[in-house]
Amino acid sequence: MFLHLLKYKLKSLFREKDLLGWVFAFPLVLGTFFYLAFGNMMNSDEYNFNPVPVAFVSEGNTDATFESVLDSLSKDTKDRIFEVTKTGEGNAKELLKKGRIDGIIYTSPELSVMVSGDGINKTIIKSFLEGYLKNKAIYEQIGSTHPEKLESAVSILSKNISFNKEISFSNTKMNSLSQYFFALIAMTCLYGSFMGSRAVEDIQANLSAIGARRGIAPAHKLKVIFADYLGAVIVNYSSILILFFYLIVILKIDFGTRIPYILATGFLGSVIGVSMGTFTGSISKISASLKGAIMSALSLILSFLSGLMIGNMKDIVEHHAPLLNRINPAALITDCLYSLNMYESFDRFYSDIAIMGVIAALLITGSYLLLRRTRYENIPSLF
Amino acid sequence: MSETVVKIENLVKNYKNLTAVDHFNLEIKEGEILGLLGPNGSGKTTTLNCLLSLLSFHEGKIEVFGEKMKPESYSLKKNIGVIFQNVAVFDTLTVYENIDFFCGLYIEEKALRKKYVEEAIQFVELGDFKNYYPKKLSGGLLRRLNIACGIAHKPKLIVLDEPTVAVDPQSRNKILEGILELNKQGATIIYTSHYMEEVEEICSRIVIMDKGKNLAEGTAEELKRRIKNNETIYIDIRSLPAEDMDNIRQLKHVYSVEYSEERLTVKCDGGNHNLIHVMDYLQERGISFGRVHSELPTLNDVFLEITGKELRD
Repeated sequence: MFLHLLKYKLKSLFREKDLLGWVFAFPLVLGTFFYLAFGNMMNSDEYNFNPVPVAFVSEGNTDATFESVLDSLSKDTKDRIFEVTKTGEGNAKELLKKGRIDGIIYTSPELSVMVSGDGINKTIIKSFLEGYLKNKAIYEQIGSTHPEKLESAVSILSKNISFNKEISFSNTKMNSLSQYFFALIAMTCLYGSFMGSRAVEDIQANLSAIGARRGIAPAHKLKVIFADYLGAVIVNYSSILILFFYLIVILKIDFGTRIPYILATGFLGSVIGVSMGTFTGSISKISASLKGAIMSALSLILSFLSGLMIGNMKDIVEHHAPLLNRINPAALITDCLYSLNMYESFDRFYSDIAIMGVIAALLITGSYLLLRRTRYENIPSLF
Repeated sequence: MSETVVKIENLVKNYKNLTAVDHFNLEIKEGEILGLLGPNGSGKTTTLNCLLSLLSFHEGKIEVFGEKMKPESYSLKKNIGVIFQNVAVFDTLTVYENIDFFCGLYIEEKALRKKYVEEAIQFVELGDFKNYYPKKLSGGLLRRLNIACGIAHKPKLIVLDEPTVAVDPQSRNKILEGILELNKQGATIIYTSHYMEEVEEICSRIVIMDKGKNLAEGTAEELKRRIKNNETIYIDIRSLPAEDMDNIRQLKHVYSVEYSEERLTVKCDGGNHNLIHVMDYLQERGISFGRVHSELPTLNDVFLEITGKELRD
């Protein structure tokens, strides 16, 4: 009977167009969107940062300290940020007009910048100037007392505009934008909650007529629950596998070489997603529509906190509420994928997997306790 | 003597301060079609849910096929089929798959199940719609699918809850014929409906319940004999003086006389020739009249007299 139940659960789920749209198509579309938005940055073997071409116009009022700082950031080293052309205003404007430089830095009448249009290089120039003005007093003090240490100070204080490459300890290639794709995987895992919630609705006699019809059948309730649960996990995990295939094989997003561990992470993520749905679904006092809304909101919020919309969100959370990163399944999934890419050691990965296991166990136990009853106190208008 | 299929003794079910079922008793014999009637909120739904072990209850005993009914009474459940008022099928499975799915909860052997599913499809005449999804079916066809899902495993006890709600007359007729056929094949049936004529047509025994209690039971004829009204006479008359109304009220077996909108309504509590007596009186008085007709009490009259005429939720 178990296989009979599972067969029809799978048939049923694979034919639900809305569900297929959200669980299968939407992550692929979002993945494609990320890929297109990030452009070539994703495919480059390493993050190639080219110095930003700027013109420096210091007619009239000069600022020696600023000039020193600018010189140190335009030295021909691997951390070079600017390619500076010292020139007059007229020539600078001509260069800007021709697009040979991205901005002009003026020292007179006060430190200011002129850029044309938007773009990352323009942002870098503006950020640099803002950073300098913020730290101007420090630069000036160091410049006057220990001029030989000015370069080191610049290096430290200009970190916010330097593009330090993240070095992987596991000999894999990874860039900071991978975080978005990790969060996308996490979101897809949590979308399993829709199926988990639906599965419960189809089992509980107090939630649906189908649940009542199944409730009066001579089938052991746990067997029915498990078949539906497993069906939901299989469908959700299938969507994860398709997403992995699409990202890794078609879009060539680098997830590293530890494929079995990556797939295991996806599987446990699916289990958590579906269990989250079964747990919420089994709280019979909440209406089906409210449950759907909770599932959507929860999946999105947890994915947001794991970096789906803002790449460094997980770091922000880690700074302000680190516990949230320890219990947010989406954050744990992204952290698993991140640590598999970043560290040779599996310590952090195993630690994340263990927490995910505990969360899954808690959700499954909670669902079981809520679903195990075979008689109900009240059944609203099934007859 | 027929075996008892369902036995409910002193069933009590409370919802907080409300007693939904109040020491309800019922016994159903093998081969019966029992009509369970009651206004909305009378407790029939709750009683059925308790019988099917979906609901917990506070007092009483329920036996099915001579055994105590419990949620894990799988051997008993194998012989029970339920057709819910709300269509309970999967939209994502075809007609055949839906019937096969629900039949598979009862019948594990594939070959036998296939045979039963085909027979159920034939029984509800959905052969041409086997591969249709429920959303493509009309209301009547959907009801028939709902029935097929409940009876494909050939249960010995079938509970039907208003299976003809929102169904066209042709489909309704087909469903009623089907219920009688199932009964002929040996199934004992519990049937609830708000359509009195249906209940009267197919049920061998009727139970009227209200406020959780069994108020009356018997055949339709037995129940009709239990109420005061035995005959209602309607006569169209242009005008009727009050004096004549009083005189008609004095006729034997007449207990109620009303005249409004040029129509005289006379209710009698017994006797065999009430209509002749009233017409004799009118002719004697030279009162001309038009259309005349007489009605024997219906199950609806019985129902309204026993349960009252006030509106329910």
